[in-house]
Amino acid sequence: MSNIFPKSANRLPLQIVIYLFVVGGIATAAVDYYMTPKYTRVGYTPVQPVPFSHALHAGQLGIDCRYCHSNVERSGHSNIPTAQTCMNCHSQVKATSPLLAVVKHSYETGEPVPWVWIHQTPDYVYFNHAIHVNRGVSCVECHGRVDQMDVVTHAKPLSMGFCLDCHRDPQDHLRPNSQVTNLAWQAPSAEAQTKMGAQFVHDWNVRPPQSCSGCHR
Amino acid sequence: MKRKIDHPAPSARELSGPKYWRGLEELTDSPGFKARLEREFPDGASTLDGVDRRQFMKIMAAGFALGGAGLAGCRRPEANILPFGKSVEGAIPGLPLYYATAMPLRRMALPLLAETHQGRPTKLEGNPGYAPLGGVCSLAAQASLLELYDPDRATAHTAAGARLDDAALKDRLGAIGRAHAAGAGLAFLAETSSSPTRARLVAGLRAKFPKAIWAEYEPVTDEPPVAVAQAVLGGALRPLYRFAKAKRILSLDCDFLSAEAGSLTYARDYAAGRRVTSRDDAMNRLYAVESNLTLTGSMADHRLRLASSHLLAFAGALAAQVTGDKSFAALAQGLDVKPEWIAECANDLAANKGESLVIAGAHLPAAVHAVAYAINAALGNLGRTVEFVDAAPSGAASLTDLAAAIRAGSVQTLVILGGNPAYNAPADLDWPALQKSVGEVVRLGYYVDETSALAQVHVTAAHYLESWGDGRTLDGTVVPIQPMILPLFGGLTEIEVLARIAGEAETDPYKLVYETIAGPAGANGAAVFRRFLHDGWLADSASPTLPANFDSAALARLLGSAMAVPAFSKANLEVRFVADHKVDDGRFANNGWLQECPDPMTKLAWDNAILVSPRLAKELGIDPQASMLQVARKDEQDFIKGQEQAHMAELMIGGRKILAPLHIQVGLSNYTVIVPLGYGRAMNGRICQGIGFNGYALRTAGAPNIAAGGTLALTGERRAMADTQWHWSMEGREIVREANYSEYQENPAFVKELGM
Repeated sequence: MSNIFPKSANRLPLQIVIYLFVVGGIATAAVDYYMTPKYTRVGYTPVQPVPFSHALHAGQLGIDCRYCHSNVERSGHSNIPTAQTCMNCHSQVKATSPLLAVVKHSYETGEPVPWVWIHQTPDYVYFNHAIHVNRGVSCVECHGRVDQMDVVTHAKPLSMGFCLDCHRDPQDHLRPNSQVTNLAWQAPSAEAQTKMGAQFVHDWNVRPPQSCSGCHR
Repeated sequence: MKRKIDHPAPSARELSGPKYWRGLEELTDSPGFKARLEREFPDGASTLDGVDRRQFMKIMAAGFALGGAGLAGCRRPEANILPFGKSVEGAIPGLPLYYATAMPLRRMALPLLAETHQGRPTKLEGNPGYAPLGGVCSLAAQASLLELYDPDRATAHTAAGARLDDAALKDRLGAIGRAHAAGAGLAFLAETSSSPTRARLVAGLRAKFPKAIWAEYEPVTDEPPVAVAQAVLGGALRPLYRFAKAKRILSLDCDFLSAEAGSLTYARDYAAGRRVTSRDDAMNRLYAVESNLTLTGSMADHRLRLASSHLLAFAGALAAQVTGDKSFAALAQGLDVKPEWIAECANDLAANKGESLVIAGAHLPAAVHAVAYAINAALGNLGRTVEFVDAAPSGAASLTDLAAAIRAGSVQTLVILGGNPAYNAPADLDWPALQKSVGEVVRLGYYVDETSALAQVHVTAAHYLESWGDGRTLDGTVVPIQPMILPLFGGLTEIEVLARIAGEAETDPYKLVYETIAGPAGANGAAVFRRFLHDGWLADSASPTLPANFDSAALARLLGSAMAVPAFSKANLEVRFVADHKVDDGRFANNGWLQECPDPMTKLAWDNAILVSPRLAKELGIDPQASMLQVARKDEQDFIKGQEQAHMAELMIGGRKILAPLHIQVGLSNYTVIVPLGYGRAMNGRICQGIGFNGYALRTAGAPNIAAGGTLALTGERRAMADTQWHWSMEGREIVREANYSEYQENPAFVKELGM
């Protein structure tokens, strides 16, 4: 019987174990990278019906986020501005630009501008904008430097781990309320941030939920 | 299997005190009860009937194959955010808006606060700003929201089956008014209403069409008759009962906690008089005499079963003791009630003069109401616990008058505003045939129901959440009905239809209501109207209370000669027609939320049944050898897979008969059978179709509420009914912890010491 299996077959069990470890490791790493929001969502930059540039409006012109997203401090849903909000300025500025045709049409007929939804939390996640921005969580924490984007792109993963990082250590992410919409703002040093953040956590009674039902309600 | 929790053994006090049970099975500790106790839900509740495992796997496999082949899940779905073109005032995406409105029902409107999301009403609660109700809301009002979105509601105006567009319909309505000079040959049939705007329009209509007939019909009575007050109190008065001030209350077959108009106010006031929070608080006492087992009866300290037809005799016997006037005793000849019960009750009432209250059920004959007023007058309650407001008689003709006019051929055009006479009119009028004999019938209806099926023109009605209107609460306060959304299917409101037929210059319902409210305020009108809409009621619009003087000579005339107390038996049953707890008189029959709510007493859902007493059931031949307790309890053979196996029976009165299931209910008067109305609809609705039986088929115009001479016969068949009586039953823990008032005063903390 000994001539059926060559001598090298003696090493097979070990080879199989090593092989499984390598393949398993690659598979785990691949799933971890390619199947999480870090890969699937970050970088999503759909073409919008209107070539609106946040870099121009919020960056160069310095319009506050809340001029357009006017109810973000009151409502769980941060509103997309109505065409009327655009027309506040654009009835005077670049009033005849063909790039604004869609907005003008919407203003005149009431038909909505079909903006493509980028930062889309799943239906099983509850997220409230107002409670975050009123407690010193800046827009930039989740949306990135929108004031530098010509076309808005999905900058942060917004995965469950991403949320929990902040919910576990809120002091590293809180800033004075006056600086929430100032996306360029940074604390002078990491120590200063932690010290100030801890003060806010105490003063504002910040207790971010870490239980399942905090968000999956 | 439920989680079991061990409780400490009951104390001696609990073992010796009164024992509470959810049903006779529990009382007798029957084997069926023991088995059910082990389960959270009845046998079979969690299995899927009609689908086997193999078929399930097949469908699932096919689903995976279809889904996987296209890899539909691998592409990112592109979603859009659609903002408004122009900003909407006050609307913040993601936050609800609240508006004050009201739900009209018969002669009463219930003030509500409606929650809307992006222009869609989603939730109704009572208006918390309206102090007399403090934000309470009725079952029907909560569920009425679903009817707005009911896919079965009428979606188009039609004439002879063909769709009628908006302009054509409005022309047609205007033409009705122009075609009948002075209203000759024109008749209206409407529901009762508390709307001041409708009253104003009807007054204008009658002035313009003096020969037209204006009739009103409600199948269910929930208010005491004004005619009695007119006869014995000398004015068109409506009583307002002040339960909060009453220390002793006697209910004469009156379910004032749930069925009577104003029951929300009454329940709140009654609870206020009942609640004790400290040793010194007084507590009211409730006596209930009733034929049905009602919510009021279940709250009573002393309850007496008595046929509704015997209540005049009971009231007479009580009046004889309270007033000392022996002429009342003649009414009580042949009454079979323990004299001590009446004597004790009379003494208790008399010991609390001015702080007691006697209330008679709206369905009872005029004489009982008159005697109840006499007792209240003798006790000095008039003006104290029983106050009166102006009832403003509508002057409307009755359905019987209208039927006579149709039979005489003097009606060419009939306009039916709401209601549903083809379903709920008294059987002896034979309304469907009458309606067909009229040349032109125009029906304003929310559903294409039994009545609209027989009408030439169907006008789609707007839901009250789509309408401008107004109404009055129990105390007469005017409340607004505001639309939360534009009519989904272009429905019209009753006041718009009336204004168009009358050829009014103004037909817009908003402006009609504005005129009613702001008109009297003159220059200040716009501000008054804004405030009215904002608050949800009109300040200082409650009806002023009026003095009432009891006239005993008029009472004697009204009572006439004493009638003999009828004797009931198996061969001569008393039949009572009552509104169903879920679907009222049938108007809410297509509401799945209401159907799903079990009746509070019988625990039946999605169905109605004739209620009979255990004694009658035994005499009918249901288990004739067994004891009364055994007849009444529903054992294994009567309860299969959580469904009550009800005996089918034929109920016959005066040659009319219906086939219906029987539900044996303890606490009924021995020979009274209860027929809940509102089911057995012939309308094409996916909820209401094919469930229950139609009790209206037995009702006559002469005896709409209480009829005598009924007979029941079992057919031997059984029918399964959904009965939730034993859901979530538990053992080893008292349902109710109880002590007497005197014991409470000795030890206010008794509750904490019981059963824990």
